[in-house]
Amino acid sequence: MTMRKTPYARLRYPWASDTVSAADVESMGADIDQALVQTAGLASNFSRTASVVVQRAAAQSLTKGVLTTISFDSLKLDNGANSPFANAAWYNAASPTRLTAPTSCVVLCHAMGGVNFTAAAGSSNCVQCTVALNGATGQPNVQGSKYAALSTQTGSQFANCMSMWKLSAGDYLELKLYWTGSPAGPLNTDTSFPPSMALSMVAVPAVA
Amino acid sequence: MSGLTTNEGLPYPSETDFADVQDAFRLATAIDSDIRAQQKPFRDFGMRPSFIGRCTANQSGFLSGTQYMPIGAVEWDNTGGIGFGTYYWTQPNSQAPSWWLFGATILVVPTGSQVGGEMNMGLIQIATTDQVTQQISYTTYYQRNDDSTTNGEWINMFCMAALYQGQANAGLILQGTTTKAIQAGSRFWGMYLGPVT
Repeated sequence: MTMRKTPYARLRYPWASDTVSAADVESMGADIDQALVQTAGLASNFSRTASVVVQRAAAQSLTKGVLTTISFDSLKLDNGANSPFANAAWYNAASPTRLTAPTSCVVLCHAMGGVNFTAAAGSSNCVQCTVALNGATGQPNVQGSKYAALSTQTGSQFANCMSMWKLSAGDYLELKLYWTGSPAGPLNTDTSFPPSMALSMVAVPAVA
Repeated sequence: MSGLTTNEGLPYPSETDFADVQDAFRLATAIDSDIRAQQKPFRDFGMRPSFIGRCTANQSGFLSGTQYMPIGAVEWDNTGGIGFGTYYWTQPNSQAPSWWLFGATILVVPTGSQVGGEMNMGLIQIATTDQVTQQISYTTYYQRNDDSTTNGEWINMFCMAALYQGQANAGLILQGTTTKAIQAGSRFWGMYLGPVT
């Protein structure tokens, strides 16, 4: 029996004879079965968007005028390994500064960092929240924001940013904080609202 | 062919029918269409329209006015809306009115002595077309980070907008006495969120 296939899910159906054999029905049923398994897989992926959230809960010392890479000590969410889109975790405690792309993907990234000024920030100050690709310390592979406090302000000063990145499998993003101002430092990161970084996969080039 | 399944309405022959290839053909194509429709939202997620454009050269310094970010490198684009040398992302004409999230990091490079408090403002400008009148209207979103005298500002901004046959771009507004410009490495990006209706 010659079988033809439907255009999309490629389901086999009988064609060249005017009678239908049990084997034809069996092969069509098997193809439908596979297509439904594929649909279930897609639904499973969809319900577990590959994403990760990490924080730096303990204070981390930041030297004045030095772009410092934040070492994350608190993993809030990492469903990379549970998402068939990714199939691997983003965070590895052995490399606690990095969120590594498990697969080629486009991610939306949010990052925030606060620095606790123990004395007045001074007339020329800033807190810079930097998201860096593969260890970069300057353009072009950095995105972020910079915030300058009023000169008399003390206490925690925050900067936060949103960015989007195209990552190849194995590329990693890091959060780096920079501050300058009147205090000699070093200053600590804020612990009430600790530095954090979150990624969520928003597109998969392999599907496009 | 005498029956339809309860949930999806797939056609099938009853036990008393003589099953022929036309029955199998109709059933197979009905199942095929059904599966295609059910998988659509999942596939749409994987291929969500989005783009990332990067400025690859420091722009010419200026004192006051507006400078738009040129796209020197397309890091990612599955919309066909941006290209090398353009200043705008253009929404695909075939796309229905839809919500988009746009964002940018505008790095500001100073070329002279900085003066504290001078105005640095980032902008994202959105153009959208009225479906009935075809009139184009503009909306601009701002983020202001005045000069901190710490060797340039990093202006990070984002906005959500509804567009139809629209365009979007990012830029820098200055007003002051120090020459500055958009720095290489600045990025403008966007991602589709969903239909307006």
